[in-house]
Amino acid sequence: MSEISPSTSAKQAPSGVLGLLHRLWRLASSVSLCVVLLLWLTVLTLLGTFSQTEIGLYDSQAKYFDSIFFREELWGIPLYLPGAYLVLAILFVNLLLGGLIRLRKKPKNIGVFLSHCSILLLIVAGWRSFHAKKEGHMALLPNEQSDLVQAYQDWQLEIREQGSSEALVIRDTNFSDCSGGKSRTFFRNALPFTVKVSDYARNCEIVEEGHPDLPASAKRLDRFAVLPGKSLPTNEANIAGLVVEIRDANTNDLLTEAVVGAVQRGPGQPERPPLVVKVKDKTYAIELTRERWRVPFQVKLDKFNLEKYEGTEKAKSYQSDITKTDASGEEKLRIQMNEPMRRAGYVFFQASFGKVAETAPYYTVFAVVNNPSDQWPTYACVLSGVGLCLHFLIKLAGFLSRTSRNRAVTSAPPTV
Amino acid sequence: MLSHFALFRKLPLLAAIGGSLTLLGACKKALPDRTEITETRPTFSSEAPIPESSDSMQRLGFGAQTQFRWTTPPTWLLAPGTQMRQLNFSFGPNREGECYMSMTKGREGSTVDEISRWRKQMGQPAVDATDIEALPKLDLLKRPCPLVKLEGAYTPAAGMAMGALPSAPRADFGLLGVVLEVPAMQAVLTVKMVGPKALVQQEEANFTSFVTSLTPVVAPETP
Repeated sequence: MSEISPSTSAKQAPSGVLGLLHRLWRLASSVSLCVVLLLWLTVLTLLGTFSQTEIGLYDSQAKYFDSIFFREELWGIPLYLPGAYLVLAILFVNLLLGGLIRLRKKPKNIGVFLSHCSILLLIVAGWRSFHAKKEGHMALLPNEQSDLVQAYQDWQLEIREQGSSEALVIRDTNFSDCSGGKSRTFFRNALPFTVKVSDYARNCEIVEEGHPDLPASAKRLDRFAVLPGKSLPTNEANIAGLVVEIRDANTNDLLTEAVVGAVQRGPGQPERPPLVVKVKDKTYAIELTRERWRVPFQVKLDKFNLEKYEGTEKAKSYQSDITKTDASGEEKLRIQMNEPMRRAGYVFFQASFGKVAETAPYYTVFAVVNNPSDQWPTYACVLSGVGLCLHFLIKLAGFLSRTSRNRAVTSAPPTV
Repeated sequence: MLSHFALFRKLPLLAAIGGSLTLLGACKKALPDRTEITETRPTFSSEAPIPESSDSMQRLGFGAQTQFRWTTPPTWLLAPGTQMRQLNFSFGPNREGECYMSMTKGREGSTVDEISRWRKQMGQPAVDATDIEALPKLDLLKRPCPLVKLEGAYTPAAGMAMGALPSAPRADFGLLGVVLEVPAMQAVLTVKMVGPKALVQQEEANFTSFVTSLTPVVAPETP
């Protein structure tokens, strides 16, 4: 902290609004604030780690790390505490002001300056990744080809018109509160009907109306109902369900009401037709599904290689030989553990494998990540390394020069 | 150095900022009861054309892909099917019993293989064609098929996902099953019931009535 320019603090603090701004400026760039933020980040890390056993990784991450504020109860009193998103944003401002702007601009501080820059870059990389990263998976059987990636998390209700080039999307964040009698109606001007969502369950079983566990309040439609279950800690394993009420957008006449179960796609998953709605000679499909998106090339699984430890079913190593095809031509590649394929901003990791039946061939599963700030942490680490090395060398040079000066003083003949 | 950590002097300001932020955090804007759909995605060429209609059973995966009609016994509950279980039922006080129909097309194997596999799951040795000839018969699609009755410790097949470990054996279980080979379709049709021994014995009559109630929706290919 001694490297922070004293210019502002040395001057006499102004009074009034300017005085308050001056104090704010000093607080925002202070080491004290930095310490408080780092301590709070430690607390958040502990809370997040402990809560994982109870609520799972996904929910724990969302609650403590992706949030601006999170709610915690202490002796029944609700507390709204700052989440990691807000803390990191304040830490960024704090480091920018204190670690860069107020830092004394001297050659000997270049190492510290670079190290602070690297931490800022890390925070920016995290922010960029949080907002722009897309993660999903692609499962392929031998000789199967695809360019579609399916997200691991979160459901969305999709409305697709026959022959249309685009489908409407309602993310589950828009209806996650639609349970226990609460509902929400979704509309769009070009859509001839409205969609009212209710009875949403993040994890559920679709059951026949005679199911003994079905509460009396559950809507029973066409023999079926949504039986809500406890959310599983592994969010990917949760299977959502809901009830939709479709009404004519102009007359508000009820067109249909139905239970909608989540559609899972991939090897071993049976094909199921969507909910079909016909309005004025137009046909629409309504589905509750995971988000899917395209990658700008086709991936074909040529061969999946699996080696097991002798006498066991445990995998020793596994690789996928693939052909990547795009406008520029074909490329034969092997994807294996720690050797992902990086192409066009997408990274394909060898994630897992499986088979749908004992006699069926293995399918491969790639984890697909599109992260614009994928390499930024690497750059930040390099920058930090360079900064710390420089700082160490400068300090070492200073120490050596001081030592040699002291030696010269002590070895000089005493003056009488 | 110590003066820079004089946090206490800044406590009032920190508390004021923290308090304001906390109040801000408590204010969460809820979505209105009527919300406009603003998001879209391009459609995919691989997406199947939308059918003219879809019934709830198919759509929700109950009896998906079946080309059969059947009568559900009163104590059974239909459950969503899977790729391997075209018809799937559960029964019992805690739904611990299950009965399912599988039709695997293009599959190599035979009645002997299938029954030997079931016997292995119940901890019993494999059988040959002569043993199967001696088994009682039950009509499935109007064809007399060997009826398998087994008791013992049941070990379900290991999951197919990576790293899936074989399940622990479940003691005192019962298994009932019929197998029908359909060479014309290169298919094997099986109906299997498994659950606690007493429960399976109790549901045997329902198993028989379910198996004999199965009728193809379309004209069956000659077995």
